[in-house]
Amino acid sequence: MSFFPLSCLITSFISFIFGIFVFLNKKNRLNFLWFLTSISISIWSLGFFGVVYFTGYNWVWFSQYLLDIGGILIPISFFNFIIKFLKLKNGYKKIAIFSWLIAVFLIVLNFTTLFKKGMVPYENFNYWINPGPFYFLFPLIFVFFSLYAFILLLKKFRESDDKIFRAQIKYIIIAHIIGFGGGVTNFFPQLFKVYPFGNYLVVLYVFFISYSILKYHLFNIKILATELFTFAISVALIVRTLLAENLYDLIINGVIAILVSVFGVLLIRSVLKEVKQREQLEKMAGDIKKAYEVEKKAHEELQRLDDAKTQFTMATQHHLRTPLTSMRGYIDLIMSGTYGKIPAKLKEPLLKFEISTKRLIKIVNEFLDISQFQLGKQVVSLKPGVKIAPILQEIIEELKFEIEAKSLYMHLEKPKEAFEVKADEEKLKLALFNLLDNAVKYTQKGGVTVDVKDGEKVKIVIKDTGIGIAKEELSNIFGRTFERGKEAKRIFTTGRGIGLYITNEIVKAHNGRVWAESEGLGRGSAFFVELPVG
Amino acid sequence: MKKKVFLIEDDAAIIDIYSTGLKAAGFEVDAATSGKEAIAKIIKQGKIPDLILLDLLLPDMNGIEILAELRKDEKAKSIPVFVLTNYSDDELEKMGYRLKAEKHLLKSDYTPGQLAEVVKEKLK
Repeated sequence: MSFFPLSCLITSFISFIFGIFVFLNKKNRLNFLWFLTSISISIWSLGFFGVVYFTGYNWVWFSQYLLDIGGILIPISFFNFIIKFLKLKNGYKKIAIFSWLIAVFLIVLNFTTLFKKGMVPYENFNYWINPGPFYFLFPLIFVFFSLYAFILLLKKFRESDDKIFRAQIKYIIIAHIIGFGGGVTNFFPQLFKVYPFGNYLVVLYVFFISYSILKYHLFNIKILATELFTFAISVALIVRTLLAENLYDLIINGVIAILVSVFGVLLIRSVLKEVKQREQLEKMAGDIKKAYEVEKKAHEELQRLDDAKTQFTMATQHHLRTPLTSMRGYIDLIMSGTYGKIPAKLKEPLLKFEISTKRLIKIVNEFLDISQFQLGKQVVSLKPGVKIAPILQEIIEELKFEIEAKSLYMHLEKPKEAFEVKADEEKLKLALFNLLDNAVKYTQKGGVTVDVKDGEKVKIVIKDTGIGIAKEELSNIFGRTFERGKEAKRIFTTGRGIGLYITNEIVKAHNGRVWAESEGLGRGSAFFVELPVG
Repeated sequence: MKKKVFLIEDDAAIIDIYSTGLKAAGFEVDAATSGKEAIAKIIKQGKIPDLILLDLLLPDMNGIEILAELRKDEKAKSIPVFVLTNYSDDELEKMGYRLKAEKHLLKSDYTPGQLAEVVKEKLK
């Protein structure tokens, strides 16, 4: 037998086995369509074998029918397989039905002389088809649906993000180009009087589809393929053993058959284990992905709510501050005597009213500052040459009343140099005020020392002899959860723990850092602020 | 001769307190409650003040738009402007400085007396 009919027979056999494998493995629509495609190729190739191998006209004529029917069904079943494989839905169902109607039409036509008139000798072949006037519809349909499937594959390959799916598509495309490219040359003798040189390539499509199966789990038939392979070898070896001509061959072949069967079983078990592990991993990956998506969605929702809350606070800042400004303004005018002399008994309540208004403004400003920090807005406008010492002096002046009332000392170690930093003076003052205010607030005996040190950076150290900070509370005091120490809550019940958070944010916005140290409760605290020189 | 301060502000109570404080400090005060009214008085009627106190949120125009209009006018373009607002937004603040606003003051931080001091410092 020459190579041409042999290649046809191999293609037919492999396609048949391959189609059966896939169909038996899992009976779903996708596998059924691939089964149809493989069986169509097998019938077509078997017919081709008959046409080129047989010498009797009747056998050749019968084989030609097999060849044509198989050939008509190949592009149609493959096209339907691709629609299913690519999960195409909208409108493709109608095209699929239409393609089957065309296949039926061509098969019916195939039995008339409009399709083929008979068989005639051609070059090395005994017989070759003598086409009828409507034979051209066959190659036309063949090329049309092959190209259509090719375009759909290419489009999905470009769109898909799934690596495995893309790899599967890639090997189907390669198999498609080789198989259909080779197959289409079989029309050349009857259409262009050219030898069907590409037919040898058809068998290669099996190789690429097999590669996709093994490497990228196309059709998921790895287990079944291993089982059938092991079974076939074992049967062949057992048959060979049974047909042994002497005892020596019988023993040798028997031992080999047993060994191969045992190793075959081990191989199947190992493949089963691998597939099971892979499935478990895929399931775990799926579960993790789902959990991640749920968590991500919840996080986004929380973020959205948090942003909405902060935006709301920002939007209302004007409305909160304006009446407070009026209150503070009127009390200032009254206290300064703009509306006439104030009766003596009104002075104290008015002073308390002014203090409360100022406190309310401070609270509102703090809340708004926090909103701005949380919105990621730039709250400082840095300018170079801001002197540190006058700011500290001003703060101490403002706290003078409380310092004196508690009989505390307040030492400002005047720096030798006039340290300057790049700062937003107002905001930096607020940050340092919070630290000094706390030092005074939480010190009952002794006092506070403020020192400014030089170096690569300007370092402000505020030390007090106050209640101190427990070690476990040190790390939380600057956080956005506004933590306050237990002792601090006891001493100053109305504090909100906001001041240190704001101080930290302001110092960070100045490209500096703030931290606290304490030997423990009752042993005082030291707060450090480090700022770049500028 | 008294220095003239022009207040662009839509809240009646705020106009009242700051006008009272500024007048008590010896300034002549005029005010407008909208952007259009301010532009009409300053640019069209030629009432050029020595200093403008400008709010950012007004019913018809925002403070930055008013400032841009003032900077286009030959007579009004060099008037010192202090932005006086309760709305703190760094973007608006930067835009104000680009249009040569000299200060950006938060109303709630300034009593009428303190504001008068700041104005006095500028116009002395």
